[in-house]
Amino acid sequence: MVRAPAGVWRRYSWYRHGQDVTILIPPECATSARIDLDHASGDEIVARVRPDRDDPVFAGHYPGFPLLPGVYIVEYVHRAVLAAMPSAILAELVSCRFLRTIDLDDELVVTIRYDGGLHRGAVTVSGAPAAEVLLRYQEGHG
Amino acid sequence: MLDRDDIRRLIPHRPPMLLVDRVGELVPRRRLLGSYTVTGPRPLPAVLLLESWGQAALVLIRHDRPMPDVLADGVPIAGAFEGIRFGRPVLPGETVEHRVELIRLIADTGFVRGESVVGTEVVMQVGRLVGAVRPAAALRPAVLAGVSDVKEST
Repeated sequence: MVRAPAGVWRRYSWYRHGQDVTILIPPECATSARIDLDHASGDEIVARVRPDRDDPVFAGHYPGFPLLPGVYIVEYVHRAVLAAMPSAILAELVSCRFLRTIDLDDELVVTIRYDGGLHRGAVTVSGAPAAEVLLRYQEGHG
Repeated sequence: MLDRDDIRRLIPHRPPMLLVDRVGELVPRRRLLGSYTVTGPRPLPAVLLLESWGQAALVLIRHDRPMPDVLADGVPIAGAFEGIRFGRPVLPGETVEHRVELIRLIADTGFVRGESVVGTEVVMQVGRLVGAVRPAAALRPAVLAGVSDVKEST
């Protein structure tokens, strides 16, 4: 098992006011969670995620009641994809369903399958489904 | 118009996770325009752009029923996202404007959609977000009581 890198700088281009604009964007790390890759091969990625209890975000989400933001779950799946495809640019969160809240002491298992141009992430805690996340990435950045 | 202090009286999010600075227009039970300025050294991660938009949506849903304290007023939780399309990153120093439209409100479950823009550029489209409020005591340990299974038509 290897710790997933935090990502790489990526080139991002878009069209604005009649001109092509290109910038370099840094690794996307909204969270400081530890993400370990079990494996990334073929069309499957499996990672284990430990939320970071010391993440300053919990002072504000929420005071006296630290709760993992739902968008962090999306980021965990996204970062597991980035570990396997460092240059990927997220184009769409196609869908996401949250099935249970997650305790800060839980270990999450993220299993991602690439199918039909989409990355389908299943997040479980102790074998129980916690979230389903469907992501689409820009072509040509994988 | 609502400033950051007003917003803190309406929703329970606090720094560093309070990601709405201003509400410029609010039409009760219909729509809202809110904004957030990226102050850090890095572009705003996509998921935090979505979080920021969701907080603006919560202001629209709860402006007439303030919920500054999750232990007393309930906990806002996300149930589902659909069709969240991301454009170019929002860069340090830029102000992103959130446009939120309330589709439907069923008890404490809200269905909202909209977009975020920087100037004239759309940086995120939100097909649908489903959010709910649950009592704090009901969330630990917690199964989300079917929030993501609530249908608009019910």
